[in-house]
Amino acid sequence: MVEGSLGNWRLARQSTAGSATIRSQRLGQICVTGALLGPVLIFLATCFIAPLGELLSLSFSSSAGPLASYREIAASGVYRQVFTNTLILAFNVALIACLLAYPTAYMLSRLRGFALSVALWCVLFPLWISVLVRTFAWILLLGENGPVNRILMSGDLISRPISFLFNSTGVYIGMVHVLLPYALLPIYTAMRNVDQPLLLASDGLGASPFQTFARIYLPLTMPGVAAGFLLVFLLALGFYITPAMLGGMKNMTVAMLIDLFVTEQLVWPLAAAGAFWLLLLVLLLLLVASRFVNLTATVAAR
Amino acid sequence: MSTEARSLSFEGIAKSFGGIEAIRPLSLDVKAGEFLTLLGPSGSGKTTLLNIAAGFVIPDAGRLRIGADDVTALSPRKRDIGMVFQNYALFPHMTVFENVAYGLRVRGQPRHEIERRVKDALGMARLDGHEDRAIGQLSGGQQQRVALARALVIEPAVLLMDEPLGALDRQLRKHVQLEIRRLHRELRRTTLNVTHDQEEALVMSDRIAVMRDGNIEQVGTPAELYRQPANVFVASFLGESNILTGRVTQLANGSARVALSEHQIEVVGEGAMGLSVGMDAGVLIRPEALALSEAGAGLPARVVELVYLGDIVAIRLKLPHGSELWCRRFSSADMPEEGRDVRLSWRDQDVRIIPMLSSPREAD
Repeated sequence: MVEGSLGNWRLARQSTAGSATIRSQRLGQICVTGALLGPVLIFLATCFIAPLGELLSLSFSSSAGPLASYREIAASGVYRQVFTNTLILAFNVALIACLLAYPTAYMLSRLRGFALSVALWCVLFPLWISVLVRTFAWILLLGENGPVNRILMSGDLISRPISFLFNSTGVYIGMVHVLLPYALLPIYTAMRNVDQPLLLASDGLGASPFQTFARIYLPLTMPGVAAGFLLVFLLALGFYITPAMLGGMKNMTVAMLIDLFVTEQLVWPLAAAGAFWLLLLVLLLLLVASRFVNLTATVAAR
Repeated sequence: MSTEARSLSFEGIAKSFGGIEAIRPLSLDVKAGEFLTLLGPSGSGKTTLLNIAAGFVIPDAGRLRIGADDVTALSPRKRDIGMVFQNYALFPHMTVFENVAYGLRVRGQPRHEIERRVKDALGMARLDGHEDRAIGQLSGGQQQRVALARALVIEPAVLLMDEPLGALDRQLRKHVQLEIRRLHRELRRTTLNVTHDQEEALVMSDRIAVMRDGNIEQVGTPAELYRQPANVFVASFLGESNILTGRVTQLANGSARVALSEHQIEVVGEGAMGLSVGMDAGVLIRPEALALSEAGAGLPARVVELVYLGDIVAIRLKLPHGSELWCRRFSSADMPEEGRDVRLSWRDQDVRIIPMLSSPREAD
């Protein structure tokens, strides 16, 4: 009511004051938009864009010529292998995380009240503990004499300890664990947004529970799955601590390679070129993915 | 999938939610091919009763039959029902065609059969040419028709509708009421409709069941409910009504005499069931049955207000003791002016003497 009358009043004022007022109002809107976005724009420009530019110019600063660092990485079979490994690792981790998150998110979406609060805390709590601490915990748990191996041995399930650490098994366990909440939350949100009468409607129209799941529930929650997958995939691509601590030399990722360039070999242009190769690959992948999935709709809420 | 319309019977159905009785034990028959509306205010149990028919709510007691089959324990998908939901519950990720085809696809009907029947259903709902539209592109009225086509295409034994017009604006609602009535006359599907809108119930239904507090107060054709309401609740829920309260002084084969002590008159009218001498009763005179005259015999009253409704004028009248009555008549040049004293009269056969409340309620 109040809003309506205010709107009318504004309309009346506009029509009497004419187009000059409209123009100045538009100018005012631009100023407001600028003021709201300003702080974050300044922050990004100084703390993100500028260093990125610095890094870009660094990548062209090799003594052998501007593109030499890029060429060196592209030409080396070993480096190419590291890039492939990283992409496959990130893809698999994202896939496993989504597969594990889907049923969990479903269960969460059925909970209400106190049980829901407890369950959500359980999901979010690990995010408060440093990744470093959590990764150390896995080293203790998964070691040759760690509790996992001891339990398996005492139950006569295995005769020799399984080596979980310093190979891809350890990397997968650690990374899926750390990144699982990022898959779970978007899927949970998508499930909460599914209109319950749609499921009743499907039931009433003669669909079996499986048909209702496959034709209604899964397609409607798929944007959440895509968002979770994308989030985990992108985070996993740049992951450093967990693969560095739980993996072996065979499981080297791009982040570890860049670290090697900087700390061991002291070739900064190569490190910068490595970072930009990864960025380029990710942008390419997103471009291809955007042909099949509506990425904007995936990340932004409906 | 049946092609025959079948009856729907509630036999002693009861349901409580957390100690609160949503449906008190009741029975109701929807005849094969009939359009029956459950009419009542919110919280009267009408939606619960519909959900029991659909199988979304399991009754605590009683039996539900479709035709001769006991379906009380059957899941919704095995009941052979079509349902139109309050906000339509159309599948947002499917086109119009896919929405309507859904019920046939999950039943594994052959492709050409699906195409033919969906096309027929869309034609019937006047949606030809909209097959490939997304649901979000449709207007409210179109969505409503898609929901109807989706429910009807499977040729259900019973069609259930939960406030099917609730989300439409007033203009459109009138149009869709007639559309649904036309479809029902054409197809003769057994239909159970739920609404709180009396006009919708009167326009579309063969019969109406008026509900209150989990009970059915009265079942009858629109004309029966309007002319012979069982009690004050039904009378005031359907149509405009003037109800004066008095005490029954005399009962004789179908008619009753009531003393209105406030106005110091006695009124004679057709008596409803459940009255006895000495009981409080309501005197119902519909606004269109009141006649106004400048002088002569009749109840004295003062014209307080004239409300023009187009072809009809509603006249608010005040009786000497403060009660107000409404009179409705066609617009004409010789309308009484506001503030004038007039005399009210009516014919005895237009007066209904009715109990204040239904008899089962007085028992509890």
